[in-house]
Amino acid sequence: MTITVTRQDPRYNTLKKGFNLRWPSAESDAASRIELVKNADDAAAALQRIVDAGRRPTVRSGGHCYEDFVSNNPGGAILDLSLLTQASAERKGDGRYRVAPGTQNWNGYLELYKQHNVTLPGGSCYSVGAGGHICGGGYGLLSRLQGLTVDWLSAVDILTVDARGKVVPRTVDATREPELFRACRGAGGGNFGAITSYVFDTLPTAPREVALAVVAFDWASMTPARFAQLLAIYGDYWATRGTSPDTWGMFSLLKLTHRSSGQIVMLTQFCNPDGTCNDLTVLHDFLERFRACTPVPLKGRAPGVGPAPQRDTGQLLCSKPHTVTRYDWLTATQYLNGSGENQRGKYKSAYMKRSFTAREAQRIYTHLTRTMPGIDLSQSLVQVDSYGGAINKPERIDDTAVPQRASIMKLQYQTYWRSAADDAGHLRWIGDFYRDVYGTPDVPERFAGTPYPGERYEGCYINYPDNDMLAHPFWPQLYYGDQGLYAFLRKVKRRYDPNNIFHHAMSVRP
Amino acid sequence: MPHSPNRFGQDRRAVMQWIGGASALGALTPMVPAGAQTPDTGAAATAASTAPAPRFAYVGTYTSDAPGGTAGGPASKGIYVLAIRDGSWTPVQTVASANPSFLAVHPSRRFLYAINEIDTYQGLPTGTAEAYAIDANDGRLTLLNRQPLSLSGVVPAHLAVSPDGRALAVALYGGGAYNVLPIEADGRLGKVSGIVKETGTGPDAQRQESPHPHMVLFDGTGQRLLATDLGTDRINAFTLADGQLALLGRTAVAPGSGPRHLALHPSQRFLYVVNELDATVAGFGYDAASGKVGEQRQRVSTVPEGYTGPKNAAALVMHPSGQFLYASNRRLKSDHPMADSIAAFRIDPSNGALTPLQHWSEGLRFPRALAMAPGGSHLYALSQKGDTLLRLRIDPASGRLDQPVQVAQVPAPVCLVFA
Repeated sequence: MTITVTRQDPRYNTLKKGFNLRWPSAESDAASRIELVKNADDAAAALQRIVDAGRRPTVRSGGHCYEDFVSNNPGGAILDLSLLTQASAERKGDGRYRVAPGTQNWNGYLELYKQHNVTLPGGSCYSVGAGGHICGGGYGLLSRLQGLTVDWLSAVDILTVDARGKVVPRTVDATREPELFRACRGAGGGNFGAITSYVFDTLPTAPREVALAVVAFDWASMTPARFAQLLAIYGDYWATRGTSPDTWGMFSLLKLTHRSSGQIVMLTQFCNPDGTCNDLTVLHDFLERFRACTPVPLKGRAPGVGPAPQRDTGQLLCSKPHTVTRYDWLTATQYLNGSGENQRGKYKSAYMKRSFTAREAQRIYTHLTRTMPGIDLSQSLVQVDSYGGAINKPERIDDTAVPQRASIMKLQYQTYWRSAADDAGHLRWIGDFYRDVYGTPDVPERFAGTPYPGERYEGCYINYPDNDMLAHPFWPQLYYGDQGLYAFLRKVKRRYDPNNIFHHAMSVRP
Repeated sequence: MPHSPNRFGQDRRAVMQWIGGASALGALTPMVPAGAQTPDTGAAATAASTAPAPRFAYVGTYTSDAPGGTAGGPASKGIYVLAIRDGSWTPVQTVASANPSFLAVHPSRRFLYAINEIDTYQGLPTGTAEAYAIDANDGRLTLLNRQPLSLSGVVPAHLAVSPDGRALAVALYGGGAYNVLPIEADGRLGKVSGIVKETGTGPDAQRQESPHPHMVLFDGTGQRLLATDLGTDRINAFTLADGQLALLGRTAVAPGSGPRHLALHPSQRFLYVVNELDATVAGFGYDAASGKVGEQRQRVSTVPEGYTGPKNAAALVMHPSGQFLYASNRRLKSDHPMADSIAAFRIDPSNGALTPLQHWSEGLRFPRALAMAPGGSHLYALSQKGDTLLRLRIDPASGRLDQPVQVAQVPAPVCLVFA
């Protein structure tokens, strides 16, 4: 049974929106109804009703889309798959794992771990839904060790709409409709249909344990030179030592916060490739390199990280100036699973193939220390995630829709706020910041303001979509590279969604 | 009527020289009737005798990527405003606008609306619509605002203002959808309030791969919107209420015919559609009380008997008397003398039946649009590839066209409205 929530329903005001409270932009931009479906058959029937009524469907699972692709749907209908969780991590008689789109990351990890001792190398935020996360190329703390979620994907069940407007349920994989399958491995979000199930033949074994290291650096003593040194040490590591397989179990999040937050925080998860912490040499070597940057203990809580677990759940290995604690993997995953509060946010991204230049460090420092009258930037940061390792298998370029397979870091620019009155200030701060970092001469004049794929950069991440990039006619190449993938995706689009039923600001154009 | 040689000759530059001067125009237009103080004079105007004489003409054009091509001269800049006085047309203003390929005047005559037949606006896949204020003194336009159409609503092809002046309906050829935008009291366009997204195809794989809404037309009640969909071979009827469209019914036309434009008989009893792909005009009954389009009663060709070239019909215009109907044909890779032509039909007032009356080809080059002088005294033909506006006198008794006069020259003209 499908639950239809319309404006008269007391749940409407809650369900018309998602994680990013900027959307819907205005009441007039909101969907007229939300169709909460409970299984794939209901989803097909609801989608057929939406199409027959001439409405635009947008598809939602976890509701974490950063941009307006789902919640801005004036007069349209949100096909909400968040209740499709009954098959989460189910392993059927065929031995394959099935993850339903409504499965939230944390729930999926719990089930996969408890039932099968496996996991999916996906994101840490607990409430992100599998539906959008996986098909956009989702990654997480285990991705250097185990690759991207889509690298493990074996098949998807997807509802498409044919030329006559009829909903067609399809199961696609490497042999059945392989082009649509490939497109769903990284470019599937809101482009071709509604995915009702992800199928994995195998999944990696979950680590037994991990060590978490937290290092902080005070902004009060952070000179431009020290900041540049910090970035150079971090970037150089991933460009050199970090390419060796013995380091792939290490994943680091360098949270380059705005100065008003007080501290820059580096959070590192580590395990050996065998999923243990028996040998911490690699981790200690990594941490030791930052001594020159005068690390200090963390004050308060790192951005995006929940409250520290009880001390007795982990084993303190060392502290001062950094803290290293060994946890059971599941406990660590729970510790790090904060999604942050639902508030207003703006995001940008960049894949980096090289370490930071002095110019980049200088421009980043400038904007992290910029003040904007009346605008609170204490929740604003650039998070520099380590990348590469098992992700960087060139053969995945050809059978997935994630062409970024040569990067060593992935940057996520973020700023958060509460009041619509502050929209302009935050958008200006992050826009100026990004344009400046990717300005000439690091980027050729014609691509200035973007990390266009080339020697240093590998574009942007579609799951961190940024509508500002639409100002550049080459925006598809930022997300899908300039080696022909976007032309392939357009072909898939024309074939499987000839009416362009599934569309949003950054959808693959017909 | 036998085809007569193009009186403008092969060298089109010869007829361009008048532009910018009424005296030059006069020199080239020796046949302006003495009675042409206003374009409305003549016996045929009785049906619309209350219509005020138009003082200003607004010409929509293609500024880029014109479907079917252009004459190849300087590109159009947007909307061309001309003043009409004593039968002569004087350029008043050129308004910069991107592919303003269809225009509509508000019932108050104070505002003009245009669609921008484009596929990208501010990086997003959408067309736009523009609202302009009309200066009652000199006819000049001032942009009020420009609204994006619905997301993926690319390449709008047509628009219509509701008779109560409170809503604008748009046919999104590329996006396969219809939009409604509210018109504010000051004439500005509000955000899109209603969207209907279509699905479907037709047998012509090239032209009917997806829905292509091509025209929207309010019926006499003002509550209902009739629409053609070239991609799915359908005429659709919607009700408009509270800024939303609700489907009332669909009527299939012949598969592969490609319905393009509509014309309602003044009696509201007969509805006609010109089919682009098979170059026909089909007649239907229409029940104004219910908004139901009846069964197809008749289908007649817009090209003369014996025509063998590719078919590409375009415009359809009703005479205000309800006695005559005019359709246009556009030349596609053809040497046939009637490839660019206007087909005239007589309408039987008792049953709406059409009888072919005349084919006119002189002075036409890819006539995408036809426009009726408000009183019915003349028909205007716009040659997209001739850059000309040709005025043809309508014989009030027979409906036949004669006395061609080039009244204006505008690059890639494709729409003409009066205020």
